[in-house]
Amino acid sequence: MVLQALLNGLVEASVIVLAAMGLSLIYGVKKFPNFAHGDMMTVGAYFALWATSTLRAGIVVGLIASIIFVAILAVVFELLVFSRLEGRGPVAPLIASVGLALILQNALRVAYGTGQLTYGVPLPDSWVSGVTDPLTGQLVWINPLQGVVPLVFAAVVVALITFILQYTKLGKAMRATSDNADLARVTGIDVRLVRYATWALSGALAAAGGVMLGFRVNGIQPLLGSSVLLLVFAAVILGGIGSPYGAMLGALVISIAQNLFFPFAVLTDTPVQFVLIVPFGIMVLVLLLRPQGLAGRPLGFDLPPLRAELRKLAESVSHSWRRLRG
Amino acid sequence: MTVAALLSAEGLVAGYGEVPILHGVSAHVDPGELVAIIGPNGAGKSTLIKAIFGLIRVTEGTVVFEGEDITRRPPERIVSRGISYVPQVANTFPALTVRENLEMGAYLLNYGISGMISRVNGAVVDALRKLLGLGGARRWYGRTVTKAYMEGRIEAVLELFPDLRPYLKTRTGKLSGGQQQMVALARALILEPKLLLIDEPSAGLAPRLVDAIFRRIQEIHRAGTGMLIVEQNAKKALGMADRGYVLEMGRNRFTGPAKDLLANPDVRRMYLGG
Ligand SMILES: Nc1ncnc2c1ncn2[C@@H]1O[C@H](COP(=O)(O)OP(=O)(O)OP(=O)(O)O)[C@@H](O)[C@H]1O
Ligand SMILES: [Mg+2]
Repeated sequence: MVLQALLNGLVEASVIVLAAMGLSLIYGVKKFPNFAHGDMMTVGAYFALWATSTLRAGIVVGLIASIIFVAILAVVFELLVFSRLEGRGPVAPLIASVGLALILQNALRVAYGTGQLTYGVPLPDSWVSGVTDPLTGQLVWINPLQGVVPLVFAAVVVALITFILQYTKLGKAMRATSDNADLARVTGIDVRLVRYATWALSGALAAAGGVMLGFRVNGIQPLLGSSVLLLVFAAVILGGIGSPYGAMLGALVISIAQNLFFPFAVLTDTPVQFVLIVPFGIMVLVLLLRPQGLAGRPLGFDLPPLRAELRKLAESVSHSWRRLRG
Repeated sequence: MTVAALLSAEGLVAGYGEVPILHGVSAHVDPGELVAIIGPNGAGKSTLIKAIFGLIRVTEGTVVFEGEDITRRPPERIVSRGISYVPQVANTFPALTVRENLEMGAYLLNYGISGMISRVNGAVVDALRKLLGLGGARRWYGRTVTKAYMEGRIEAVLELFPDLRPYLKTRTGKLSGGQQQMVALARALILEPKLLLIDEPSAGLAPRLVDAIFRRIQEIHRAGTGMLIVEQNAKKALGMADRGYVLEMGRNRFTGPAKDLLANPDVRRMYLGG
């Protein structure tokens, strides 16, 4: 049971981490939280579905097509919306991203309805393998499609993003722009180009996260991405907003802690509905003790108020969520 | 004089919003000359440098560099033209290592993949522009070099600032103020600029470090780089400069050879403490 929870946590982390890194990249370079990120994930999940059925191709082709599509879509967002709001502080683009989120979500609703769709990839029975939990002696099931695939995929993507950020000229320029955009211009970096590249990367990560999420929950519906957005925000804020590496760490902590809650709930007879207390509780605690997040460093003077607002927002939304579900 | 000025700013009117901060400031730098700008807090010294470097809106006046009008060009194009700028504050990337800071100074040197992109992009865009008869600038600046050349440039600035060598892999934010100032200067020198704009190199440094930084600046100057330096420490700045400008409330107040300014009773009384 505990092992199962740990595994589930790890798998969930692999989905969250994809989304969290994308969100964090945009925050770092554009200095606003992109509330459309969840719905960009949903678009990615649907586009993969559409691509597989239209092209009559496998899900891998669908995934690649979706990554390319959402990357381009994200660049178009910057071109049409966010580049025009440059230099107006974080509030204008934040509001714009909320609007964009609603547009995407409702467009999908119009196009596909609210029903659950699945990728319908058949799962051979022989693939499922059992492992004995060393603590409880129970048999634990590992489902390769819903578990191992997202895990391995996320590990590869995390390694790739780390490589890009750490060793390529573009990645270094992204970090430099995120660090000090004015100085980046002064050193000759074409900051506009960097912004477009960051959107493309963030869109690609959103699509990858969306498809993996579709796998994981085995159901695609218009609220797919936005339903995890708060968890993603929790991971990003926990890790230190704007730091992709912190986002990785935050995703791991949040997901594993959340999944470990289930065995705990069974043992102590706590209603399972309280599970959302865990990620947001951790987030609030960390913010109180270490306001810059686990890996982040103190940011410029204009950012903490925004983070406080986000914190309040996350708290109140999680509160109402709990009320709705409880 | 018959020598054409390296840089000449004429009658600059510029500011951050609607209200101008500079009300027609002029300044010029001859090739290889070291020029100091002094004046009280808020006189507009930093603003003048930002206006020259294309960082703020210039409403009137011109900036000419080597005979070419560069007024209102974006900074990334001005750097590629041969001017480097060391800002007064936030002049390094604290989250990047010292080596990465220097690499960002070399951002306009393209090699490897970026060199390829740069060449293809340059060729394609130039062809398209010719075909369509378009003017304007292409979006990919810089020049194509070999990796060895780029490494050589980093090595060359490290020779000027050997103290930075042990910290190449350290996050710049962890260094002391003096070390960070050296990183900023080193970064600005990677592209071998013909003109270096430095805003308050000694601000907030201990006296011993101030002397070290000024010695480096004089070395760079002796190597033939033209310099425009804003400095709070007027006596020291005029001591090493060829010429000086005194700004006050966004206007030129005094101008002349550094020796004359140092001897001028008004300048002495107002800015040199007697
Ligand atoms: N980013 C900005 N936005 C608006 N006004 C500014 C900005 N930076 C400076 N100013 C104003 O412009 C005027 C000139 O400032 P500037 O920084 O050029 O002074 P300075 O001569 O460099 O002074 P110091 O010795 O303090 O560096 C000041 O009145 C200042 O308040
Ligand atoms: Mg200043």
